[in-house]
Amino acid sequence: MRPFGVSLLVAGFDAQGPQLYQVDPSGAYFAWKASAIGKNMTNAKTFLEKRYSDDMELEDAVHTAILTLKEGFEGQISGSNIEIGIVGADRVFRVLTPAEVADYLSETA
Amino acid sequence: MAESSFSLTTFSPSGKLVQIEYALNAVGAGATSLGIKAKNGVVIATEKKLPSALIDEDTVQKIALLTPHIGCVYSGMGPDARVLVRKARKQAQAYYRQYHESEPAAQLVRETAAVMQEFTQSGCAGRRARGC
Repeated sequence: MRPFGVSLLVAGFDAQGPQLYQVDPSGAYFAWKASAIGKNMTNAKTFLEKRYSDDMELEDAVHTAILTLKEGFEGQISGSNIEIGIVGADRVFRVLTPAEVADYLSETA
Repeated sequence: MAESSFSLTTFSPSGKLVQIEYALNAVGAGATSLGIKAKNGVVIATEKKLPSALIDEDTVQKIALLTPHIGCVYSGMGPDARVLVRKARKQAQAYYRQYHESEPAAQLVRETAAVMQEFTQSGCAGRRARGC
């Protein structure tokens, strides 16, 4: 047996409202307002700390997420080399299509 | 039996579990993922860097749904993440079968975390079919 070589970010919306969790290989988990994992996580977290506000709308959050990814991105960011998933007040989680991501990218450029 | 219940994850003399630190290194080397909780929703996002331009990127999806209301993304080893996603979905379905409502995110996360913890502590028991 070996530990899992992954950290997870879990996004959900239920009776408790919107929630974001991070689960680490040790089994430790925390709920976050914003978090980053993987390469560049330190820079990304610093960026998120600066940009985060409590009264953020989902649309703003998507833009901030894109800006944060852009910070550490090597090469040209596009609708097909990043992936975005959202869950709103309708409580339906969905993955944005490359075309939708491209639309958001043109708004944040 | 003594042999087969031996866990690879054992304490170092300084009190660390180095296998877990190595696992965190694997995560730190993986693609960047991030999440932000907003007032009226949550967004998760990740880089989808592929090792070759020849890979058909339309077929690669790193964000997975666990229930219709809960999604997750990973950094680190993709195959390991798939195992966790499979277990989480199965757990969510077991919850649905019993209670006829979707499993709350907090509970699904706690159970997934428990699976990850189990793999840092248990030995080969239950995995003998794979020859350990």
